Amino acid sequence: MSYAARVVVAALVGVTLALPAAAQNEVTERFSKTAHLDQNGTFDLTNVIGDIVITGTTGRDVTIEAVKRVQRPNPRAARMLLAMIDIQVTEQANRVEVRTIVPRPRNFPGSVDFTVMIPEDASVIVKTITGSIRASNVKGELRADTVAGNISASGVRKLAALKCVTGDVEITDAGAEDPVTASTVSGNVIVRGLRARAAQLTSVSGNIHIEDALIERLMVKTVQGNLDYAGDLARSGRYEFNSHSGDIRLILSGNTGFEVLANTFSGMVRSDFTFNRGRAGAEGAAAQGPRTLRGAFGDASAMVALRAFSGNISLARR
Amino acid sequence: MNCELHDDLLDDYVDGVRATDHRSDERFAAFERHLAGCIRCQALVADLTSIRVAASTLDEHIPPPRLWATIASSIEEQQRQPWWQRQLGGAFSAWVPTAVAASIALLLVAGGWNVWQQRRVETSQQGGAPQPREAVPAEQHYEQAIAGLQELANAQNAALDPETRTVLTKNFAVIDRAIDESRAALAQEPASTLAQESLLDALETKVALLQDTVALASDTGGGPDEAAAAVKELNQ
Repeated sequence: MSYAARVVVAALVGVTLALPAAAQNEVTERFSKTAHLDQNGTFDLTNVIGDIVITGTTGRDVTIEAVKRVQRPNPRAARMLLAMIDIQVTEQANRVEVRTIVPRPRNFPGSVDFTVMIPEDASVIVKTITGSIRASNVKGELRADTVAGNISASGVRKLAALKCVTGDVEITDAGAEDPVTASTVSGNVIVRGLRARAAQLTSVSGNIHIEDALIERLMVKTVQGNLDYAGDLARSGRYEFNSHSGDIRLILSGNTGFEVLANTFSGMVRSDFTFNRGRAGAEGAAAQGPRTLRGAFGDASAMVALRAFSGNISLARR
Repeated sequence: MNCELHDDLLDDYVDGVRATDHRSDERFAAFERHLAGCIRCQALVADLTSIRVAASTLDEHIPPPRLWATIASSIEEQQRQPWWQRQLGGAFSAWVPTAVAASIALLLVAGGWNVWQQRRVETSQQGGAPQPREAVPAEQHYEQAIAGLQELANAQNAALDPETRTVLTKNFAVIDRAIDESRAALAQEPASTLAQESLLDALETKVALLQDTVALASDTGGGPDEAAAAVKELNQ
């Protein structure tokens, strides 16, 4: 092939490779608004597509920064679609509401990314269809809901409910006075540091991992995923772990005595702990077989119920 | 025997109320005298007490947060509408499927309550020693709820985006597999409590996911038709 022919071929390949990138024109528009919340107010945000970051700070201002985005091959169409995105902010009764309004939310080819600073004592209700939600340093109640996206909550003091369908839920260094629910359908639930009176963590096909949590009443449930719990048990705590086909693994410090009842239909049960007597208040010795384990350890102050169908169950000492 | 005369005191008695707590009400003392000599009432009290104990160990069920969020937003939305639209539009609102889903869940609970009540009446009529406990046909109630919700979910399926639909379909398959495995285990070992619990768990999970699917479809669909047409045109 001649030099000229090689140059032409190279140019054609270059143009072809560059086409998809050039095919989309992104147009953006910034939105900025400051509102006010008195003590213990509520910030309520409903978005459609786009990521949301909410941070609690000192002060009484709510600072809303948003970037609207539309990508289309035709720049004029992109600009017209961008103009259709409306962000409405209303302030009333110690409540700031933000709503992203787009025509036909399900098919709209644009997004809005939010970065919001709120007074740290404010409660937060945040909801989106597609996009991740990240909340940190929120001292008021937090409720977050997304269909397709992850939810991450760190330094939240009154965690209430986190829910998504296809993403992961991650809780770090959080607390709650009222019962907490965290659920996903296909994602994982990951908890690193949670102090709560009661919590319910669920997934259908994802894994659930909990470490360094102090929860008085914990219910963990998945159909297909694995369940891992590592740390201490609360005295008089009640723990329930259910998985149909996943494995259940508990790594306990052994500082808190507990009563255990573990059963699997077709998996195996294994334990590092020695149970020297039967269940508290019941007669007879501890019972351990390949698929069942029943007994009390220490003062048996906590109650642990583990149930799998085809998964394995293991209790290990930290 | 006039056992029925004391029916209204049964609940209080099972809750621990005694004649000594109600000295002014002779009926409590009369009931306790009757109970001492009536095997039928003793059996009924024993049965109700065991139900009470079992119920006290049940988990506290937290209603899905989405349920209230949906109701609240629907109320707010309705308040924003003019009065005439409120009167006419209510019947066709997107909230209806969610309400139907909630009604189905309510029917499920009501079904369980009816079964419990029926057993209570049967026990009081049978007399003699307490009968062996029959399994509550909870599976039937779940099946009925699933059938109703499934119909609703199928009708609204198009409102979900394809990716979410795919994820939900895969996860329904996971749950259905768990249901099938539990049923096969029960066929092998009909007395297995573990297999029964696994089956009810899987059915409960399916009901919850169907409820969420219906709520999701209501939340994500919608938008004025003329706006949709404009978006469609600009998308091309």
